[in-house]
Amino acid sequence: MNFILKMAWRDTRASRRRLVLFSLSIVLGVAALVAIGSFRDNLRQTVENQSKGLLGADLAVTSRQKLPDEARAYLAGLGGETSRETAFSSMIVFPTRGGQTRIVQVRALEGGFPFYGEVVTAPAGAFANLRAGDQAILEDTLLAQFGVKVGDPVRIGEATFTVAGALQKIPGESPAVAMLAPRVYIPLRALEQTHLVQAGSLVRYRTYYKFPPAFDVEGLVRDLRERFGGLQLGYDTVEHRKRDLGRALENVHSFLSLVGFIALFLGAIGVASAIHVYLQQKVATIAMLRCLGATSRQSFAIYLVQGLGLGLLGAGLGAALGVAAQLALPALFRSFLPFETDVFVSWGAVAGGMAAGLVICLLFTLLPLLSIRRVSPLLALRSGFGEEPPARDPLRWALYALIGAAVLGFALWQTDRWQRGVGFALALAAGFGVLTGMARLIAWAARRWCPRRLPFVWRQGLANLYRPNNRTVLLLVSLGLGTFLVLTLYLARESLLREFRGSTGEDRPNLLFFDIQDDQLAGLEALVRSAGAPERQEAPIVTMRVSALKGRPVDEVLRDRTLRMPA
Amino acid sequence: MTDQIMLKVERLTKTYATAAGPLTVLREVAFTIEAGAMLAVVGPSGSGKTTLLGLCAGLDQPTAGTVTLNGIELGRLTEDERALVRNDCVGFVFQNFQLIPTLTALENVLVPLELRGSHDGEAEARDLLARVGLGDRLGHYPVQLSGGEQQRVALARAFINRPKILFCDEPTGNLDDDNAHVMLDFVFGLNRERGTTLVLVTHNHELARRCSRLIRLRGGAVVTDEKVLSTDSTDGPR
Repeated sequence: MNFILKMAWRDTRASRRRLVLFSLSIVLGVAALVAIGSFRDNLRQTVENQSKGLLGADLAVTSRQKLPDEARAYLAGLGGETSRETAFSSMIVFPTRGGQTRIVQVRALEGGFPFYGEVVTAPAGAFANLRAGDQAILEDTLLAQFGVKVGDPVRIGEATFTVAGALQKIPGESPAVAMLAPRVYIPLRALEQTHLVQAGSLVRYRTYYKFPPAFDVEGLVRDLRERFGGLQLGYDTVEHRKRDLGRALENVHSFLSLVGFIALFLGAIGVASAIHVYLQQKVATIAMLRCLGATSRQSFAIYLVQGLGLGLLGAGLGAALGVAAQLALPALFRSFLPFETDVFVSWGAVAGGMAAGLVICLLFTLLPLLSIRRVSPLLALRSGFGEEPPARDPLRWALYALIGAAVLGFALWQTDRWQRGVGFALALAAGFGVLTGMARLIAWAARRWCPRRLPFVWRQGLANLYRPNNRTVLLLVSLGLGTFLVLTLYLARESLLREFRGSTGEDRPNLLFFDIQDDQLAGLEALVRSAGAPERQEAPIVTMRVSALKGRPVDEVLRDRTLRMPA
Repeated sequence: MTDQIMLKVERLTKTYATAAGPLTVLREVAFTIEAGAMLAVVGPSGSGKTTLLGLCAGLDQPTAGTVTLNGIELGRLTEDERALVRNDCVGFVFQNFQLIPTLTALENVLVPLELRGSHDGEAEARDLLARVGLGDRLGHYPVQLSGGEQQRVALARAFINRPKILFCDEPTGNLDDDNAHVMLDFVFGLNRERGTTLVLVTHNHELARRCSRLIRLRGGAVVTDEKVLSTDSTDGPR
């Protein structure tokens, strides 16, 4: 063993820089896995630590009507604190900005919400003023967009409020909500002055509850569904939020981890190719060692140690880079998370990323290393004249199977359903197979049909596609898989963005007039036509309630737990 | 020279499979060498000299026939077992020196001992290198040595494990005349001193005449096998 380690070290003397460069192939893949894994662990821990801040309360009961007295009395009898909110969409008018308007989400609030977590406003503490008078807290994007300042008046319906501050963060919702519908908080007791809540208005009523510690909220929700199933109430708890957030985060984590794994896979292919070229230069040394008495195991072990060292170096550098990169991830995802993420080094993720990098690197390094077993000491005397071609190597096929198992194992580990893991592994194998087949086809075609009349440079270049020791398969597979990776990410991004953007055809409308009254319709049409904007669509909005589904009354459907219908 | 048989070759045949069909490079070669003898194998290019040397040293397996080295029939051994036999009792000097480029002169000489797990041969290695005139070049890499110096390092390496038999394949083939004479003086001097059996493959007849026995190959077969009057052989002129 001593000789093996000594020889492995001494043999790298002339090529250490090159070997370090080889190891960099896997650095990015390992870094991605470590960063993503660490961020996931950071999020999990933060969710656990700040779970109550996900909702700001222990329980939120939502309905399209005011909470019936019987339900309210029942819940009030359980003890704890209560906070009520009435929410609806409406226009806000900025008198100081020439009467400019914006559709907003009005939230009329009373009580101590949020019971957990804190509301961040500018200036700090402005949220407390909601209870003090006719104040309004606006989304900070509204102040920026319309140049409104603290102390300016704003009008909602027939009531005027004074801007008390800008809302930056509130428990229970991510800042990304502001992009879809900026929020305006007003005191609940001032809602009536707006005259906006009338018969037929689309309003959401929400009641927040804070119960004593160790209260069984999930049990209460089950009980409420039984008791008040016909009232079409919605229930939201901290556990629900944790599960939903966890599910979303796990999906993102699985996707990004698989992407990181593909990067690692590509890097390992690069390592295998580099080691193959490196070993070809070592054949004479190996043959000489065999002459002098080295067994095939000793010769193999010398270069296996070098491969392991290379893998360790790459995994170590990748882990360090990944730990550094994880510091940047919370900032990237801040807008989409309802809390600040605690950042710490997740040693489990570091170990997992390094192990994945080391295993994959080792497996791919073994592929060229297997050829060492067949290096004959006779090569020290003469070149390969008269050598018989190598027979099929069962060990090589076993290694291919191991690599396949490692890919499948990693995919199953990262995805929550075995179908996805198997699908990923099969897709990767199929891509690998197609690219390899294409490469062989190109090499065969170059040999078969290379025109003899081509200039020398062209003929030599094309001939290198099929000459011994060509890199056609390797390069095509590497380039192809790399392109596959980038294209997958790009298509996934475009698909997600399309969900938000919708169709971008030229005939789609870009201005929506909402809640037009009957006596306003003709005047609006004339106004729009005079401005040269053709009317695309006119759709009446009718407030309705579903009374039956496929012939079954709604009450009966909601009581049927097997259907899992939301309230 | 003693009566103990160091190398026995019986009906040795080697055939290669080539694209043009089977190619027989050795045909039923047979001879024995006593311990301490000096044998030169000569013949034109393509006569099978190097192939014969490779088979005798256990670097390759014959198509037919047997090779018995130091009482061990090599055909019965695995590749790794033959490697251990080589480490134990065989030394090599090649035409192309075949030093390991990433090792210093001293490290190259020590490799055979390190392979068998021995760690106390450094003094002898230094002594051998000093004997061949490279006592002040111990830390130099092959690329820093001339051809003649590299071959002398190879010679020191060949003798470090006190081989019972030394195989030399055109040891002066890549050397100029001066270096060749120096090299051969070392080869025969050390050989005489240690009583090592020598098998020397060469197409240089002058060099061959320094051995005690001469086997001439042509077309893969032994044409002549004769004793030689030589001042270098351990058994003196006959």
